[in-house]
Amino acid sequence: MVRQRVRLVLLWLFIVLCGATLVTVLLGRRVPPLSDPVEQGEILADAALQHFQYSEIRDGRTFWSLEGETALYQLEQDRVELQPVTLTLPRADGILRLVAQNGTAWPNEQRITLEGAVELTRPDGYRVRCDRLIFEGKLGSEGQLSSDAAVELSGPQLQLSGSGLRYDLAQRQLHLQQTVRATLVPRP
Amino acid sequence: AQEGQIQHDSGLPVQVVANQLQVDDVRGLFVFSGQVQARQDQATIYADKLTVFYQQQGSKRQIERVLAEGAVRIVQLDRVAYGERAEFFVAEARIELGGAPRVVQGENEVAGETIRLYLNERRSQVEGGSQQRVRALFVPEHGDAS
Repeated sequence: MVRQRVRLVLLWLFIVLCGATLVTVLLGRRVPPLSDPVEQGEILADAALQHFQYSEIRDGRTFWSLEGETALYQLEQDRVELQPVTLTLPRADGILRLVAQNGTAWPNEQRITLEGAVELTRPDGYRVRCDRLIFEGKLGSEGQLSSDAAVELSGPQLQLSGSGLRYDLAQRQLHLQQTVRATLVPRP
Repeated sequence: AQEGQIQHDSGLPVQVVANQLQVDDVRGLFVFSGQVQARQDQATIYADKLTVFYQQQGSKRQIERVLAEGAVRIVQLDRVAYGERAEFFVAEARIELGGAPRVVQGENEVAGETIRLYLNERRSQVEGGSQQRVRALFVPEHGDAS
């Protein structure tokens, strides 16, 4: 008699367990997947910083340095998003200074994308303006700047426009690959 | 033939249009390539490739010469020069043409191995050589022949 009662209780327990599992599975399918919080306007970052500054030192000298009013650091992608952004490139022929509304940096890859009213200035008076510019520190010995957007370059005795810019900072060679227009003033 | 006064101001800006450009700041070169058109004052140079040689002094730049290569055509008022190669010496406003050069002005034409074009004068200097002797065709002005 007692054995029969125990068996009955175990049977009920088993039925309840199956029912609970079934409900959980069903509930799990109906609940919508967590949509990317960024789409809902919330920014998910591992670190949110103010007055951010980061410098990359190579052979004892500053290879590049980044500054931003606000910076969001994503640990997993090793990515920093800055607003607004200033990128400084100290080189033998002078310090190149680049400013833009937004910047995204991948420090380990030494790659920085600048977007929105990008302006590069050189001490000798040259200025480059475009909407998008990429710095890649691993290309060439001093890095390379590139842009597929339309660019305008102005400086003493020179006005240039075109697209498909490539500038090698070590070779000091600039390449415009499309629709080039230039005005050269022969003498100072 | 248009009787406009031939003159050339080498100090005026040079306007260039091309498909591509390479600037070499170290060697002082602008290399324009692909359907190049370069205009200064009355003269326009058309070529496949145009190299501008400049001297850099601090942030100042002095253009010394311009080398046009490939299907070169130079138009200045009614004077048109053709060749495969043309070297423009800016300070002297002088162009040295090579590669089967010829100059056409109205109905007149001259050809040789080398032609020197003076952009401030209606003068050209033609030299023959082993490959091409001087050849000239002058058509009297209408009314002169009577």
